[in-house]
Amino acid sequence: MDLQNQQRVKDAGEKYGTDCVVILGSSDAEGAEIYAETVTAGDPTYAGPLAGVSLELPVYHVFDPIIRAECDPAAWEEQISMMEMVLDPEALTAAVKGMRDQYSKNAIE
Amino acid sequence: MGKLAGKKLLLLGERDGVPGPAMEACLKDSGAEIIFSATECFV
Amino acid sequence: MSKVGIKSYSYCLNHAPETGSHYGGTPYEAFHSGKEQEYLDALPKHLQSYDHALHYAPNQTYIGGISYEEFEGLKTPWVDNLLPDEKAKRYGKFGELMPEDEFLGLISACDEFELVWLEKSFAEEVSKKLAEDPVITEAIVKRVVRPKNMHELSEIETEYKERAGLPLYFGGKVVGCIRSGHPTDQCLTAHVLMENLAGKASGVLALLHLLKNSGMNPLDLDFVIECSEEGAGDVGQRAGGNFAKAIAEVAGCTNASGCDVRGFCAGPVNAMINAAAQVASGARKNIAVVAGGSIPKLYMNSRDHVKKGLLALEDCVGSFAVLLVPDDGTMPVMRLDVLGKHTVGAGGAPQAVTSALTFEPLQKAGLTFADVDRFAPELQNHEITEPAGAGNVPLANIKMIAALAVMKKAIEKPAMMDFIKQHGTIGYAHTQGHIPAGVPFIGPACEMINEGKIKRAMIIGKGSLFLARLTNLADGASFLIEKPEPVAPTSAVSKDDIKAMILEALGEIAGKLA
Repeated sequence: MDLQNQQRVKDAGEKYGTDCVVILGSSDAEGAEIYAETVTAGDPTYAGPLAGVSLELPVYHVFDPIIRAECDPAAWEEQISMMEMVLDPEALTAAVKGMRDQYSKNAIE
Repeated sequence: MGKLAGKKLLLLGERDGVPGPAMEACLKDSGAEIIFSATECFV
Repeated sequence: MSKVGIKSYSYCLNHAPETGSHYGGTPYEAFHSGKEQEYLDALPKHLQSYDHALHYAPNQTYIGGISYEEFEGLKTPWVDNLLPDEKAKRYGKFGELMPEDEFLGLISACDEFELVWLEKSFAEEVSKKLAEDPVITEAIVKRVVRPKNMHELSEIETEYKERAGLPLYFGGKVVGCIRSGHPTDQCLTAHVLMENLAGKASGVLALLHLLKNSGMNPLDLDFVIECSEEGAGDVGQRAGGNFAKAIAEVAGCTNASGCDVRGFCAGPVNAMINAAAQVASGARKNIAVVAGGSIPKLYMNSRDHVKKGLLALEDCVGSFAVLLVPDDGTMPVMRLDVLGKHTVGAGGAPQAVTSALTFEPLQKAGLTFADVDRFAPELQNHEITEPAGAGNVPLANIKMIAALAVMKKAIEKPAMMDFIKQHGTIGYAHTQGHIPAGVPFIGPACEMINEGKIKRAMIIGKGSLFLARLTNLADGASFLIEKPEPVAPTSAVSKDDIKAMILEALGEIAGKLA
């Protein structure tokens, strides 16, 4: 994850705790998993500000039905629906869920 | 009341996935506050 | 005139593993952060030899050593299915894969300000090797061994140890250095200058191959538009330019002028449109669109390659050049009447971007998705990006086009995978930012058009403008390449002809009034 974005997540996580919800738009399941790990257990590459910092934030992929249900349907149709055909929503959702189940606190269900 | 009401959202989008602004458009009326939205590009 | 001819094209790679493993963005950042010693220690064990790079199919596809169609049929993973020796040559139909020592020599030859110092015996050796390259001119060979660019190792050491220079390596040893251009100006540090000089040198190589491929005398080149992602300037004008003229100068194009066009990865497609419009209008007789490559992009994903025990394949600086001339009905043409334009108001949603770049121009041209034989949106090699969790970018982008075709009811949803196979392209380009965005396929598309295998291809470039923190917008542009059609001979109309036509028309009107 971009170092600047790690810093922003860290700042927000330290300020608001697990009231923060991280939502990912990653294209690749493995990439999504690394991002989910970064905002929960800490940066696995040890390169950024979240190295060794466990924020335990609840994290979801935007395709997760829990998040999708909260989205404006018209905006979804216009902005995201095409990508559902392009990417693998189930694999992305599962990859992020795996990390969330292990490391997140205060998850919304 | 939606499940995200009162939450603070951090949106991490991707250019070749779902970019930040697209997620913002979908979640702006969710009752949550969008703290920040970013888009990354891996290429 | 809304078409221009694509006369020729060149594609080159400069193998740069030692430069990249020290100065590529990711290793350089890791070195300075001091937090990733394990990765830095391991990286040298994951480098690919020059010989391996020559045998790696995506590289040969880029330089035209094998055809794109042959590449499509190859067994994957390419890294485990290397090409046989007879297909692993330095020179291809489009350009070459130059070894790193010669690249350092070429960088030195491109230096006007005593910024590059090479150790004397190393400079002499590489100048001899460069002399064997069919496109490297005698003037360039001589520049490598200019006394002011050759120094003793002890002087080189002082320069990088005490005066903010950066060492250059080959064979694990220091063979030279890049000097700092100014004591305080952050735009003229040795690192910035190294990037710019490498961009210039790789651009020169592409332009020289373009001149060879087109058979054009360098003196006949009218204009150069450069479209890399580098920024040359000083503190007063951070990216003032102008790479184009600097490149044309070394290539001996003394009658040419030039300018730079920028737009992140959409730069080259915007430059092509810019150049084509100038040629079509008659403002320029011909234009070479040129871009050198990027050192910071080298080993961008290597952290993950190292972690997974893979070869770090991001070791080549890429470059390309395309020569545009007036359409004479004999060569593939670039159309200017239907261009993909991503407007400010279109928004950044993938479907809005894809629609603006494919559906909208096609609709304007009275065409549908199936009328485009090949779409080339992104051409990054997925063997580099996938292990880093960045996915298969070319495939994702072709899928976006197919999904949009479904949404626009141009194809049925079950036909998506067939559409992707038939109309898509597989990536083979290095992750050099601007280079993989569509333009590597101009060459193969023209070859396939000339061979009668396809009629039309679409070249697409997308740029992540938001990376500069100036706007949240993305950018994109696209154009069509088509097979030529016979051009009607243009007959000059004289004043007398016009007079006769007016008189004739007036006569007809008078007749009707009578």
